[in-house]
Amino acid sequence: MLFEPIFPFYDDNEKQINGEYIYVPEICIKCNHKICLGITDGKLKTCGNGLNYITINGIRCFGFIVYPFIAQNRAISKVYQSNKSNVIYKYLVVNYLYSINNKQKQLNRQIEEEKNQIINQYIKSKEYKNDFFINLKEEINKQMSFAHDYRQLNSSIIQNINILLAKKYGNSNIDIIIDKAEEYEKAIYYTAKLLDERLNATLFLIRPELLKRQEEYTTFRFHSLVWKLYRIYYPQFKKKDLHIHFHGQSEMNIYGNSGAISIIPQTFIDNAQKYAPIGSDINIFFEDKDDGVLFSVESWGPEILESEENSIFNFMFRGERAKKVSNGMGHGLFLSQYIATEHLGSLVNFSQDTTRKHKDNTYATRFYIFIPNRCKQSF
Amino acid sequence: MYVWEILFLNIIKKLDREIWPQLEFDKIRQRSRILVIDDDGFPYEELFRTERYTIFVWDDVKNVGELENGSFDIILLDINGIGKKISNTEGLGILEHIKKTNPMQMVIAMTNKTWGVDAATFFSLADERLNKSEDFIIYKQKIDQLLKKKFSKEYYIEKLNLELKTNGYNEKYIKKLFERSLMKGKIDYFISKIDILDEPKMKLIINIVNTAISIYTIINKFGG
Repeated sequence: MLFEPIFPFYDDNEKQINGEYIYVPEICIKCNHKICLGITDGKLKTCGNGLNYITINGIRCFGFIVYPFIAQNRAISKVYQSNKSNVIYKYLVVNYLYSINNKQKQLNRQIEEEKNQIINQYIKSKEYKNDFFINLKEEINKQMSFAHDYRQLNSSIIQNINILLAKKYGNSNIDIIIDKAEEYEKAIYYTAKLLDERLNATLFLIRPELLKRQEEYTTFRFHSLVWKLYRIYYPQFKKKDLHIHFHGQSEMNIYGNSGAISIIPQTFIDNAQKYAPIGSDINIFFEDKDDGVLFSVESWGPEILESEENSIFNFMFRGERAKKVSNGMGHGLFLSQYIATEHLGSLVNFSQDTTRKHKDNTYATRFYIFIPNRCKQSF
Repeated sequence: MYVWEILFLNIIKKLDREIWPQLEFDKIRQRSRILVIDDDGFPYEELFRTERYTIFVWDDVKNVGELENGSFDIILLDINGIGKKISNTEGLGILEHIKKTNPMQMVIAMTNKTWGVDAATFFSLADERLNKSEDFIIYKQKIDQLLKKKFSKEYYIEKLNLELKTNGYNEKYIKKLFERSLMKGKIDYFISKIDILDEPKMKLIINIVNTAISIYTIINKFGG
């Protein structure tokens, strides 16, 4: 136990145990209501018999009387008279609670430090990559069949909306067709395309070894890939009245696994549209370097706490502030970082300017990635 | 550049056109035959027909002979659910058979990106790949690209160069041999001028030149 149990308390079997200084009063033994067994959320409460109770760190303490007190009726006053040994001064109770809280915080800190130490050691050893996939592979593979089914169904939706659009508006460029399409047709088309992108990411999560397949390599323009994502996300941007600004452009051809690489800009864009406040700006930057493209997305996002900076690329991790804004699994940045290190030989980075604050407690947040023109060919 | 140099280049270009006249894409499309083998059917079939492509859709392999003898310019092949009676490995087995009997047959691998164990070989054997979730326009672009390739002289010369350069034949010599074989309309001339002991390679080269001769004959028949 973290503290000396000076008050009577209930053990795990709801048996009343004497405290170090205050014993279980007779009236509590005979009590049929046992209201003190309920949770008090750390607040001091009074039962029908005029005795106080409180739950501290999950331990239910009861059967004491905090002095000074106000006797609301004669019966309670009688209880006080017959249980004088159970009276304790309020300042002593406050001190006691304060010391317990401090001890708890200290213990939490200690546990957190030890946990971080172990995690850091583990990350340094890089064993997590293998362990993670080995441990989850079987479970994840079970889900594979669902992903496959969804993909098939989704392909059918895409093909049929294509037929519908082509019959109605002609077989020209898809951008022209979409411009002419009705809102509901656009909605079906873009939703199916977005789902296709998301299923693509899920499949890489399920089968990370796909990154190594040479036959998945193609030559493509990164700018076109991001433009395609912009088109797919356009309805989401519109829904939140987000203003997208492109800065610079990339003429460079990239040789690599385009399906895997697209997950990185998709994650950046997806996060930006998810967390950005309504009516805000999202900036997308391209800069061609000698041997690749520097790509980044800047938007207004929830605060990333200092303690979270090392964790945001962990699997299933979600920042405290981010959790409050939107739902999510927390695998986008993990997968992006995995692809960046294993396929691109680079790293996803981010910066947050806490001096630039926007509405809804959001801050200027920018995620970066360098895409080399020739990706790693073996791992 | 001198006037005589320009004249000379023009003559060379004219000769080149005569050896392999350029066929308009409309004409290529008119005479091309595309086959889709997919047990789920092919929703874009009607759109291709509207665009005046000759397209056939099989829900399973119906005639192996037609796959072997180059009856179709392009075959779009699904990996799962087809050719079960012929091969244990379904689509992969069919593709292996096609590429073994007629290596110049152009095949597009269609997939839903499930990436089974055999998928890697399947995709590496195919000339192109398409996800089933792609738009019609992407399907059309890929097919048009392959058709243009099939009807271009450079495609065959490039293939021959790739195969013969390891045997010490230079590009200029291969081009000369190839063009003369086209004019004569016979493979014999080409074979008589090269000396290769590797039988599978020789079969492949015969297949390349024969396909080129048949395309050349079609082009001349339809006119450039």
